[in-house]
Formats: sequence, C-alpha cells, structure tokens
Amino acid sequence: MLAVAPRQDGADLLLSVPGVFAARAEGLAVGQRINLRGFDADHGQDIELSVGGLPVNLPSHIHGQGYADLGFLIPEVVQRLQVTEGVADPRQGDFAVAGSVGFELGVDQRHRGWRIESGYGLYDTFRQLVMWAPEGERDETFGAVSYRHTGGYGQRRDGDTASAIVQAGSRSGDWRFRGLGILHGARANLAGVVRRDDIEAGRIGWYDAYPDATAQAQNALAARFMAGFFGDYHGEGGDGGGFGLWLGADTFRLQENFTGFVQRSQTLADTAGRGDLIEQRNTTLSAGLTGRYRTEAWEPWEWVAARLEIGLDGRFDSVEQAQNLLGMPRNQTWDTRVDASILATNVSLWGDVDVTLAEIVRLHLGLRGALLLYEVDDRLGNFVPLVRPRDTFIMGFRRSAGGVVVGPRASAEVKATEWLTLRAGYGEGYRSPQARTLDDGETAPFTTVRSGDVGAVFSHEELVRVTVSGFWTELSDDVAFEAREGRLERIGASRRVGAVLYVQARPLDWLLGSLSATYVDARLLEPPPATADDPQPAFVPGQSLPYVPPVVIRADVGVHGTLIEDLLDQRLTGRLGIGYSFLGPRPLPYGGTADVVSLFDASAGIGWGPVDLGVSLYNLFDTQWAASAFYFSSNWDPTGIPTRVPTEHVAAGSPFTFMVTLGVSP
Amino acid sequence: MLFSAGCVEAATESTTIELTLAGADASAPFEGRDGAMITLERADVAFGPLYLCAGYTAGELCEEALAEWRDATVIDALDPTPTAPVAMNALTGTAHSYMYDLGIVSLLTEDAPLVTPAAESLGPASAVVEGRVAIDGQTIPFTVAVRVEQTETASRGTSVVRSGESESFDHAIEPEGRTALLVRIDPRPWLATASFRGLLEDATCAPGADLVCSGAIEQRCAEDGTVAETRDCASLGQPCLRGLGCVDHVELDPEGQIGRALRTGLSAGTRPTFEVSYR
Repeated sequence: MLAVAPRQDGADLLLSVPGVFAARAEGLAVGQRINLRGFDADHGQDIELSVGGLPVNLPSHIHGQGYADLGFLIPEVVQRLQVTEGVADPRQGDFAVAGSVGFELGVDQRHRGWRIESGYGLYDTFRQLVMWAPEGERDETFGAVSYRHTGGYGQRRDGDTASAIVQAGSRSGDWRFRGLGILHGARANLAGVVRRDDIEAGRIGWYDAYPDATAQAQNALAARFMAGFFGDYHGEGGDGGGFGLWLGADTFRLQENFTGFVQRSQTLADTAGRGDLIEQRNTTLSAGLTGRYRTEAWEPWEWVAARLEIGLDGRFDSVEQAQNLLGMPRNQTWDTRVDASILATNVSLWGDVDVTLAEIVRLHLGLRGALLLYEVDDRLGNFVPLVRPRDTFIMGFRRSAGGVVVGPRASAEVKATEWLTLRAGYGEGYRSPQARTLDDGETAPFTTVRSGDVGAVFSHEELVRVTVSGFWTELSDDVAFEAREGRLERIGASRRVGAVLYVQARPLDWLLGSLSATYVDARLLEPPPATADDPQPAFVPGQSLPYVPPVVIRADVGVHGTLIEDLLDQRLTGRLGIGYSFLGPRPLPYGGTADVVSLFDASAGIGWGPVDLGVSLYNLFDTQWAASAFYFSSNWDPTGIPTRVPTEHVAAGSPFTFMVTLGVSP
Repeated sequence: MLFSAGCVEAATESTTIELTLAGADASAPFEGRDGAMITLERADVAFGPLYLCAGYTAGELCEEALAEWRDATVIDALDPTPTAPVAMNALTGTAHSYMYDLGIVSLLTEDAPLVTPAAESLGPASAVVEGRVAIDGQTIPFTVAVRVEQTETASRGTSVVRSGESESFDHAIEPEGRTALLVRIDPRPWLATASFRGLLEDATCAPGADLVCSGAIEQRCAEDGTVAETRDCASLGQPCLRGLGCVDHVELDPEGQIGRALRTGLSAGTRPTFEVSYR
C-alpha cells in the first residue's frame, strides 16, 4: 500500500498504518503529530519509532518526552513498515505505548540503479532526489539524498530540509551485515497558532501569523545524525541472532509563541509582557546496542515446536536542554525557565518463548525488564524567586534516580481455517519519565501501560484481507500539551477502549484498495486535582481525552498497469491513486471541540522506459482544516484590554497544493 | 458507533453570562464621617473590565479566567435601574473570586495604563462624584473626580480591584447562557472615610494669614494680622471653606484627603453586590 496515495515526506507513509493520522502542524523542522489507536502522540511520545533498527524517539526531550521527528525519512527508500499495535511483543521497549512502527529501508530489485527526480509545485515548493542503488547488490544497499524547499502556504511557513541516507549490506556465511548512516537538517519559519475568535472576527486570516515581532520570529531548526552497524545470524538449524551498535546526535531549537503576551519574568524584577516567545533548545548525544539470540526449535513431539529467544538492548543519552523567554530585538533573553543536563541510561532484557502447536496455534510468552538510571543537573532547580533574594542556598538541584520496570507480554494466534486467523495479545509496557520531573532517589515513576487486543483476520488468497480487532489500553500517567510552557505535561491516568477495522483488497491485478476505520472511547481517569495555582483544572475525571479523535478513517484506492505494451520500444505504464483521511471531532481542554478533518489526496503518473512523470494533489477540495487545535488562554492584543478566558487556537493545515515530479532512472 | 463519536464529554463548556450593571437608590441624604450629612447628586463611575475567576484569589492567579467582560462603561451609581444587558464570555464552572478595573486598565505590555473611552468621558477619571455635604451648620456643594489605577509595579497587568480572600463569592456559571449577573454599585460607602470637616475652619486673622474662615464668616486679613474685611457666606447661601472663603461650589483635589478616601473607597472599600440568577 505504500505506493498508492501521494506522500509529501517519509512520515506520511504512516497513513498506510490502520488507525494512523499524521500531520505536520509546526513546519518542516518539528516532528509530526501522530494519532494512533486513541493516542495523540503529539510528537511521537506514545509510539516507539525506529528506522533501519535505529531508534528515533528521544528520551527527556524538552519539547516532549519521547520526541520523534521523522523528517529525515526519504519515502523512496522505505521498503516496508513493521507495525506492532499494542505492547504484546517483548521486543517493544520504551515509548511503545500505543504500539511500535519500524521503517525498513531498502530499494527493491526492480528499481535499482540511478534515479534522479525533481519536483516543483505550488507555494514555490521544490524537491530534488538523487538515489543510487547499485545493481546486483542486495536490497538494503543504496544511497539517497533529498532536498526540499517550500515557500509555504499562508504566512511564515517557508523552510528547507535535506536528508542523506546511506546503507550497505553484505553477507558472509551465516551472517548478514548492514551499516546505516543518516544525516538530516531542517530549518523552517513557523506561523504558530492563531485564535479562532480572531479568525471569525476577521482580525486575522486562517493561514496568517500574528504581526507582532515575537510571532514573526517563530522558527525551528533540527539536525540529526544517526549511524548503526548491525549483524544478523541465521543458523542452519533455525537458530538465529544478531547484534547492533548505534550512535546518534540530535539538536533541536524552537522559537514559538503560543500565548501572545501573558508571561512575566521570574528572573528579572518588573519585567513582563515582552511577548511569550518560548525558546527551547535540546541536544542529545546517544549510543546504544542491541543483541538477541534464538535457539533452534525444541520438538519433543512432532506437533510441538518451541523456541526461546532472549535479547537485550540499551542506550545511553547525554541531554543538554534549556527553555527561555526571548524578546525583541535580537532575541534578548528576558526569562530562563529550564537549564539542565541529563545523563540517562536504559538497560533492558527480554525473553520470548515461541511455541507452535500442530502448525495451527502459535503462542508467545515473554517478559521484558528495564533498568533506567538518571543523573540530573537542574541548574534552575531550587529556584530563588525575586521575593526571596537572600536565601541561604545557591540555585541548582543535582540529583539522581533510578527504577526498574518489568512487564509480561503474551500473544496467541490460532489459524482456525485456511481463511480465518484468530489473535489475542496482552502486554505491560512503559514510557520512561522526563528526568527533570524526578526527585533525588525517587524510584523512577515509569508511565506503565497495560494493553490487550483480540482480533480476527479473514483472508482469501491475495484477493482480500479483513482484520477486525478490539483493544483496551490503560495508561498510568498520560500527557497533554501545555501552551504556557509549550510542551507536554502530565494529566493523569487514562483508558482507551476501541476497535479497528482494516480491509485490504486486490480484486484485480491492477486494482488495489484499503480501508481502515478506528473507533476509540478515550477517557481521562485521574486528572490532577484543583490547586491554588490551578483552581479550575482543564480536565475532570471521566472526560474525553483531549486531542484524541474518536474516529479515524483512512481509505486508499490505487490502479496501475501497462497502457501501451510497446511505445517506441518502451512500455508505457500508468498509475492513479486516491487517498481519503477523516478525523472525528477532537475534544479539547475546557470543553472545546475541534472540527472534523476530511481530506482527499490524489496522485497520477505515467512511466515510459527510464522516464516517469507524476503529479500529486494534496487536499484536493481545498478544505480548511486545523492540523492542530488547542484550547487555552492567550492575549494577542498587547495594547487592548486583555482576554483571559481560554479559547480555541488552531494551526492551519495545508490547503490544496500540488507537485509535479519528473523522474529519470537511466 | 460513528454517531456516538460526535458526543464529546468534557469538563467545561463555553457559555455566556448576561451582565447588567446598576447603581443604588442613594439620592437621600446619608450620614458620613464626623456626622456630616451627604447628599449625592451625581455618582458616575467607569466600570470594567470585569473578570470572574475559579480560584479563591484573583489577581495573578486568575491568568485563566472563567468569565470576562472586556469593556468599560459609565454607570450612574444613583440610578438603580439596570443597564441594558451585555454578554460576558464565559466557561461553565464555579467562580470563587472576581476582579475588575474602573475604566483605567493596567497592561502587562505597557508602562502607561489604558484609559478606556468610559474613563476618558469622565475626565479622564474612574469616578466623578458631586453632591452637597452639610456639616457644622454649613452646606458644601462639591465635586471630586479620581483615577483608580494599578500602581504596584509587581502587579502590573492585573486588575486594581480584587475580591478579598475572606469574601464569600461562590457562583456557578451554567451552560447555554442560563446565568445572569447583576452588579449593583452603591456609591454611599465610597465616602465613608472622607472627612469634610477638614474643609472648614474656625480661625481668626493672624500675622501671615491672608484669608480665613471663622465658621461661616470669611475674614480677609491685613498684613499686621488684623481683620481687614469680613463677609457672611451664609447670607450668600455659600459655605466658607479653608483657604477659599465663600464659594458656590468646590472642586476637590483628587490627592486631598477626600479624594484619597474616595479612591480607597472605590478600590478597597465596600464592594459591589454580585447578584446571580438563573433562567
């Protein structure tokens, strides 16, 4: 399905995953907003994402725990998506709350060789791709470079991004080795959010940014380097194993003003109202390893086969992060909110017993445990407020904390008939904490997730495949976006109960279609109680979880085939694809509700020998939709009577746009 | 299944409050400090903006308000008839405190306060009070206009009048605009601590004095301190005021004791009554 509907970037491939909706609300340099099975993984914190075995989520990131930006992905080199919904697999680690998505990279044998592709479209959008996959080599050997520039729709949405991915694979006896390197950089201006009441009153346009200096200074920069070396062993007796070593470096800087003019400096006396331009900086240096070994099958009887697989993975992260308030001109710092260094260590061990009974029943029984350690140098900890200038201590709060989390994982699959497979799974996973929230010696309060699934798969050869599943997930501590700090904050325990229908059909060789529909009832169980600082909390027990659409629908239909078998000694092929996405009304804090999202995309193309020409159309009917919708108080009228009642804010999603692409594969 | 998806349950919801403002029937004379009998003839106050807050302490802890009326209007505080209703933008919940300005609004972003058109029309001022005060056998027609504004730098951007922590304020804001709020302002307590006796004197000429009042008798003094000329203000239907002599009417210094007392009365004295009803 990956090739059916148009994809603007690699993360859009997630739209092929049942129940997933992904959108870029903050430009080219900030991670996508991903919805999956009732989780609003604002920037990926609830989905364990990996690319070619390299983990993408960043622990204790300033913009959101588990922050993940898939902007480095080049869709043309994504060969396969490995999706695990729920947490029933012991291989799933940190951030696998809604599930895990692994992008496998490669270029299949049909597309090997050179490929040069240029695209140009609306809003001065240009994309250049150069890809090289040497013929005769394995799928995983390739190099690809992509550059993209856009003038951006509306105001202040221009940006540039470039990615380079190199992967090489080789084989030596029972071992296969693979080296992978990824380099990515992006910088983009941001329009930020605008108040819906300002739009409705005609004070600002849907695609505009506020004219104030601190709104016009919103931008983001992201750069990332990842490299890994992996080895896989396939023994003749069915045993196997592997190892992986990887390194990563990521830097992120964001300037974004959500609330206009409501902030006061905690550092400088009598300084307030200079514009709430939040600066977030985060640099993460990471190193990690993985290893696993699977035994040969133990077959005490002819109808029983059992294997044991054990594995480990671990990572070490050094994080430097800061959050400040900036004012104009020249980004003067007028308040400091975060200044911290974090050293995080995560060592995990897992085991999985795989039992096959008469080739009908397959059971997995597993366990995963993790030890997480944190050393935090919170340089603004024990903050000395302005009203207590003569305290008896120096600002700063250095501390360490650690904790262990262990959870069972189990799944069962029964091949009831040739066309019916029944599945069930249960798992207990975790999300590591934002280290700055930990106290000294605190047993790390992992966010634990308990998740169960039942489902059935009906399949008839390659003609049709229907998957129906129900899921239940309880999370001990959910998070939601907090506008005043511009990041995710804890909102208490939550529960999701829902169902997914996924239909994939290939009624004709040249016709492929899929439909996924997800319904979820997502509720907040124990939001933080009212306090003096927050006397009217945005959330009450039992309410719908904010930002989570109760219904997500995605449909794709694609046709492809040969138009003329021999045209000037070359075959002329054609393709046409249509995709449709629907998001139900997203509940917002304070009782707001975001509008439904209903979007059509389409693509068409012809290929003649080494040349292909395509056009991709996004948001076909030019629907005005909010890529993000929030509910909080802000004041964007610095010289008028301030408003204090929370209201809806939106970040406009992309209007109709198109891109024409010319590709040559000599 | 799809139909139920449209029903989203939440903690609060947007609504409006029907806000009306009214004065009090305060045209009858009332007793002030020192036994003064005060008759008000005009009590115009610029009222607004008004915020209702969820917390028990308004001010900086009311950065997110439950309800707001972002305007100001001049209220005739002597007229008990409610003004035409206006809509307050609100969320459902329970308000435990309030805060408001008197036409002059401190902004977080500006050093100088915002003077609303309502306050501008009064001078600019937050309140203009006119009346007559009878004290010690004299009747003093007076006018006083004061500005009430946030002066604490640390509190910049917050309203100047806030409900006290001990003040009982507990009003539910119901959905679908079912809540009506009547703010009734009684001007009489504003002058509770004003001392009009200080306007009078019972002195006689002395060296260095130019003009004194001996009760209701105006004395103009010679250089040697003797009385050069006298005038009976009472016979003119006028009071004799310290430093002014016989006058028809006095415009009081907003920084004088009465002006300060009025400002204190407006900002920290008896608060308006907040009458909430539901439809």
